[in-house]
Amino acid sequence: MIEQLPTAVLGLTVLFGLVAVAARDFLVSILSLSGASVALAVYFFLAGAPIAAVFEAVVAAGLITVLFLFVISLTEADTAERIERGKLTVVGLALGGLLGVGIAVWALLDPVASEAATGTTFAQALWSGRSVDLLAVTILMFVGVLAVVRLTAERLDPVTDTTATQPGDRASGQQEGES
Amino acid sequence: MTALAYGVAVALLVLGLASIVAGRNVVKTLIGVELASKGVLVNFVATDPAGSQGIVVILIVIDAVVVAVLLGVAVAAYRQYGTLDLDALGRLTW
Repeated sequence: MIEQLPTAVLGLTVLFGLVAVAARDFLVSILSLSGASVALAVYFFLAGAPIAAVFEAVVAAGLITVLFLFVISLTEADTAERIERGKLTVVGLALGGLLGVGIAVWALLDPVASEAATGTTFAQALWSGRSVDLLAVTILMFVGVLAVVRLTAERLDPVTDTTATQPGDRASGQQEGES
Repeated sequence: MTALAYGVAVALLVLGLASIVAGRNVVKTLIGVELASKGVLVNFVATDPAGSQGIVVILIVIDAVVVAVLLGVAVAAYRQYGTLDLDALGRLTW
């Protein structure tokens, strides 16, 4: 049973990926992408990479799904309305899924020894072996935050913008009318 | 087992590329980017599960930053042009 689990989880990942690409409904494809991330996190854990599994579950299945839903609710009006109506269901399903994965991981986790050993070797590998990469990722995150703020920000002062453009428009309109 | 994982990695990569090339919507294209990066992660973990955790974590964070910035570009393009349809938006599609 346990031996078959990685195969099943990998198959589930590809299946969710197919649904995410093929579905016409954005909500379905985003939630399928989230499901693929959760299945992939379970595979990471079963393959022996528990910390990568936690990152995959939290960042890819959580954060990126929320970002996609946020963009959809900003841009697609009818989907946004359905998200608004089905909000409780979606949030409940997502939280229930994450809780289920957490309980499964906690139940399957080998107690104490293996986890502590993985934690220390991982920390050593990350901080001594990949310190340049960590620095680069930190800079990248900073640049990314600046880019997102710059790209999604509204104009700083719409009032002055409208007063700056409207008199010119009116003047040109009047001139056209007069001429 | 490892062979199956490599097969899944290639499948996810091809799915993502297909979605990037054939997608008609910006959101679908970004879902393709996500799937392709997942394929790369499966490849890393299948090759060396314990040793590749550092690079996998860094790749997941980079992927999140990239997708966040691309979604910001999508929102900015929507505000400018009022659509997310790639046919209506771009001259680079075919």
